[in-house]
Amino acid sequence: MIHMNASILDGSFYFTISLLMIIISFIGYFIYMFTTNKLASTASFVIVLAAFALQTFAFIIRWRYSYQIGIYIPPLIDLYDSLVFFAYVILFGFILLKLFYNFNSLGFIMTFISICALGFATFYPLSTSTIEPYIIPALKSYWLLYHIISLFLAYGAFAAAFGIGILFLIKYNQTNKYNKDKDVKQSSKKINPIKKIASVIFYPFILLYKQFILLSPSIDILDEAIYKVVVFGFLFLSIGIVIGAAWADNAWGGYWSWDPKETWSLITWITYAVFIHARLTKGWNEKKMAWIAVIGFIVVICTYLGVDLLIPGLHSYISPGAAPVL
Amino acid sequence: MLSKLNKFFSSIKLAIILFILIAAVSIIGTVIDQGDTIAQYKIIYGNTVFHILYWLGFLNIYNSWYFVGLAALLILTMIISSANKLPNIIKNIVDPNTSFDYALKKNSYKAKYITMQSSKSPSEILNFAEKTFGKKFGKPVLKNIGENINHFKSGENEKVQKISSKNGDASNNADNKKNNSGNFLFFSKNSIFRISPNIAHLGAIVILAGVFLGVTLGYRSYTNIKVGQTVQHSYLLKNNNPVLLPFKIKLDNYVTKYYKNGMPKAYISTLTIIKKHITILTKSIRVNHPLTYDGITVYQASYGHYKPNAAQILVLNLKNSNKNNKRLIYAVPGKIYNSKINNIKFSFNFFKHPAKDQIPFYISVIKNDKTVSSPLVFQELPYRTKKGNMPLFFAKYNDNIAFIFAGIKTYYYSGVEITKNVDTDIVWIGSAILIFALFFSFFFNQQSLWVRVTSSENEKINKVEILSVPHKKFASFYSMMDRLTEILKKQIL
Ligand code: HEM
Repeated sequence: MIHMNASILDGSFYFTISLLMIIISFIGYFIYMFTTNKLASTASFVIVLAAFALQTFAFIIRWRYSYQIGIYIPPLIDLYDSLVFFAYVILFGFILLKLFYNFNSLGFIMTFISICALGFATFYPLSTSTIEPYIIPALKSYWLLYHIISLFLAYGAFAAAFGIGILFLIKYNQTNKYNKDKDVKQSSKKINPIKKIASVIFYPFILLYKQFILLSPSIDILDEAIYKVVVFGFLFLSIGIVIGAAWADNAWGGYWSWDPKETWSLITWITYAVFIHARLTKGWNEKKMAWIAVIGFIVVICTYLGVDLLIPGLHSYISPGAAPVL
Repeated sequence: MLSKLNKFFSSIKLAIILFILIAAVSIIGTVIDQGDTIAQYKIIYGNTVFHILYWLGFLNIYNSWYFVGLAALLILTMIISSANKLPNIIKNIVDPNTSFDYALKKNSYKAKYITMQSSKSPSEILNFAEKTFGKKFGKPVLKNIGENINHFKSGENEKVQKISSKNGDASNNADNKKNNSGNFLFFSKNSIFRISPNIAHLGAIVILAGVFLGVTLGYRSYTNIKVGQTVQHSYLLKNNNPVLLPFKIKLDNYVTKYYKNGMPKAYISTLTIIKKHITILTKSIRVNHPLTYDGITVYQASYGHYKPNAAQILVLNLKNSNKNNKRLIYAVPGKIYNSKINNIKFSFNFFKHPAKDQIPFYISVIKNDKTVSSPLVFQELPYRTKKGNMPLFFAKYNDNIAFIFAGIKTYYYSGVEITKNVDTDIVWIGSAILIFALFFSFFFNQQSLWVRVTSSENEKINKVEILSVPHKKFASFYSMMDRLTEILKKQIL
């Protein structure tokens, strides 16, 4: 039987509906990518806005519900909570970018990441939307709220940087290839016949695809957007880590214990610190920066999900090395 | 030699290499469990691999000499590179180089340079420019409008009007780079924020310094205290060595509160701090709510109970219900206890092979080191204990002495972490500095702008040069400049 989180009571039903909406807008953006049909992108964006509004509503329901059953802390505790919040922040980031940069071409990447997060939340068996009427004592703290919100703003920004990075790389390669193709024609070199046939068959697609590439912002603008989004994320990552450290100090008596989650958050932080500094060195072109933005997000995913799923037993109540079992 | 070293340590490439190395070492630390016991490691990895990993320092990697060394190098690099750049940055803030030609030459890779022609007079052009660019760049730092431009000689600075420069005698500066003749405007926006990266580095240095201080002067330790027990030692988390605390800690009480479904809700220990036999304070601690006294903080970390090994045996004199004829003894199997009631000593034992349906423990009464009774077998009483609702078992000796088995005694203990932090405040201060500085270095970018007007021989046509230099090469900056110059063009054509 397929497990699915869709309860009206705890709000997960609305998240599941929003997942459907985002899938539709993803399809819309995909159509837009090949047809450059303005209507498709506009409709998709409207659906994204509606999905975002629905998710906001769902959060309110969920928060209220958790208060009703006696958890006096916002529902940002378990895997389900964090995945839907992740999807939410990504949509939020996309909406902002769309408003500031008119980034239609980013739509298919951002909605895709959002679908992955929400889909995982909805269907992954270990992610359940039920809110249990109890939480472990260490989580009973408002530090938690600020810690998680900061980190997820950062994760959302890094996801956006990833999306823009991909767009950058597509556009960059395409521009280069275009130039190269021209060179090839000029020097009238032999073209691989299969490639030629393929290019004839796919000609309309290639044409449309090129149109899409032309519609997406110039690589200079993409490069600037990557930087701005990354530094926003870096700032909030730093804030989130410091809040986490302060919280750990308050709860467990040490601000840093080198547990895998902490260590990976440091590795993430270092990755983006490299990004920030690499920009300042001569000889690191924009393409390398786009690659760091892409790799950085993979590190984020390792930190966010990989550590939880692969390295067991962390952020648990009893801190490492505390009490020997008697 | 020294300058080479200096250059080596100031390079961003070194910083990047250090960053990557630190990340790589950290990853090893998350792949190989840190802080297990040697026995555990030997089971996981086998003897040979264990020795290799041990030799490489991989089992305690965050305290290894190379990890600490990398962190120290990072501090050193940050200090040296900041120290190298700082004088220049400060000079740029308090006494910026305003020379048009110098800026054009030095920043050609990121500057935007536009020229146009106008038949308007230089002062008109510059007034328009001031208004147009002022929206984005604020007031010009330098405004130099000569009425008779043809006869303007370099070095003649009477007409240079300094609007906002802290360095009063800059205009008399003989430095050639600053020698600006002709009609020009110089804007400099956010120049003060050029210092923010250095302050970010300062923040990172302060954090790392705090961490180093904490590692050397502070400690993190734990101890388990039984209810009722007083301790003065705790044990270091990293190597279990004992630490003598400057006060004694008594655990008055420990309770775990539960939700209805049995999940723990709160772990609460009531502690008393005693110094030189004087009770200083009593306080309940729980997770997120520690106790701090004398620079030392005590945190609730865990709880548990010792293996139940003592039976609660109540010895009663049935003939004499005097208060002194009742005694509760916690008896460990096999040991001999003096009940002090009718001078009776006894031991509490388990049957090796209890018969079916038989209660598996018995009492032996001892006099003059000799067991004088056959095993006294317990019978279950129709009552239960008040506390815990446990069954009661009863055995009798000589009609007048009764032994009541009142259950097993469990000792609860509270696991507390005791830390001495000399560094946390330093780390928080460093973090605050870092975060503020990050904010300013990311979102307040320096931008400079020059507008220069030179006239041709016949004074009919003036040449307008606009040079803008952003600190960061942002596409939006260049498009903004395009927009503004378009506006200016329309006004002065
Ligand atoms: C190995 C140590 C480091 C070295 C050698 C180093 C070097 C540099 C240099 C030379 C700059 C350019 C300064 C300028 O533009 O005026 C810079 C910028 C910067 N550094 Fe570092 N840095 C180091 C570590 C760090 C660390 C640990 C942080 C913490 C976040 C940091 C944060 C920054 C920031 C925020 C900037 C400004 C970047 C921008 O404006 O885009 N640096 N660093």
